[in-house]
Amino acid sequence: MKDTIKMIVVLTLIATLAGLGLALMNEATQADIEDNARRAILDAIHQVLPDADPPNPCQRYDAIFDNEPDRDAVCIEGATVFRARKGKDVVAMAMEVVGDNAYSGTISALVGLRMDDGMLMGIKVLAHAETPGLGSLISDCQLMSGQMVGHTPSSIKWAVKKDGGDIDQLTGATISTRAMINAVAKAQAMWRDHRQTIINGDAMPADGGCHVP
Amino acid sequence: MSPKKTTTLLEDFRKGLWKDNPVFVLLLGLCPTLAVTTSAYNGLGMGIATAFVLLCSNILISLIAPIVPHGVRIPVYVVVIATFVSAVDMALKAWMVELSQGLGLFVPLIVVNCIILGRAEAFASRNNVLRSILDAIGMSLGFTLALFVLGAIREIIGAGTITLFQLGETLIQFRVMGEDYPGILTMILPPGAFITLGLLLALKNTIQRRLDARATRSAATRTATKHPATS
Repeated sequence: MKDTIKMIVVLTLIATLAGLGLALMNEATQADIEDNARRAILDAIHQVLPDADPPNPCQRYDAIFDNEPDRDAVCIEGATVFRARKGKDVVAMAMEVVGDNAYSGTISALVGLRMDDGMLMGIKVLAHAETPGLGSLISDCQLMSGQMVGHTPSSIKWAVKKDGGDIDQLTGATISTRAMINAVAKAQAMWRDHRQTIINGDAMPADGGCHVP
Repeated sequence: MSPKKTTTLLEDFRKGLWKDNPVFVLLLGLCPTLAVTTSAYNGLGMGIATAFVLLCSNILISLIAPIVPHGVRIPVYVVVIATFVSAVDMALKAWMVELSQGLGLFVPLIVVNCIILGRAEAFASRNNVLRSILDAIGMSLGFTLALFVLGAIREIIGAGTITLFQLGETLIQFRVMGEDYPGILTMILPPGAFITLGLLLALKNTIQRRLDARATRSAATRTATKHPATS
């Protein structure tokens, strides 16, 4: 009996101390972690919305916007659309999209489109699980983005050549290429169907999540 | 010091490097070993993160071991280790973002790395703080070295480069193979990890056998010259 009580006391004590330590650590790091997360989003938006016409996806430019797009987002059908403004005008949009039917799972990417004609200004792969060396080339600025950036929804046929489109499939990774085109298509659909909401809609609160109503 | 301890402090430190190397001899922690060693730098980063947790947990466990009842020792060790891993994970996310992105999933996975629980149970709980620190440093060096070698071999053959440091835009990388070297993809993929580990184990065992044979021979000669009459 005495042993049992000792066990309970020791384990409880150590677990409490561990919890206390972690709480302090969390307190010390939380602000920095949130700051990093925000900087990562802003940097990604900067990369897909460069101030160049037409942009070269392998180069880094100044950002086209002078606001803070992550604080000026609209929520449309469950998707968060970041608005990039120059002065007061919404000049471009960026949104995170998921490319379906990738070779392995899905591909998540941030896509930037120009507001007046829907031109693809940049695309950045955020997460994927494609085969290293083959499908992973979707992140290659030259091979993948280079073929798509600078085109509006109507200036080329958005499909791989195998399907009768204008985009060269990556060698050995046709499925990954299709998933990338699918990702861009989702952003283009958002631009086509909801342009007015994106320009005039109310910004969602900074901490409010975006959910399907 | 109790009489059963016959190892020296130096031995406590040295055994992790070769004789009891966690990867090549004990074959512990193979999940991080095989999964993260796609480049020399990833191996190095994982090794250093593990080293930090191992050092902290060894110190703390050797301190609290006398008051921990036998029946709850494993849960206590797990709580201690999990706490340090969570703390490291938060610290990396807050102050070393790029490294934390590179190591990704594997930092939380340190918690199930059997090296750490193994050293807690087999060494830190039975030895004093100084010995536990030496044990932790030796074991982590052995682990880091093994991961680095594994990562370097896979990266050189798989991609033709060797990456020593990578933080955001800063990159220290050398091209070992020629500019046109296409890289052998298999080496970066999981099969390459198993093949490389197997070959390294074979190499380590061969060297060990040679050393053992030499030690036996020189011991035999020594006995023969010391006591010529006995034989």
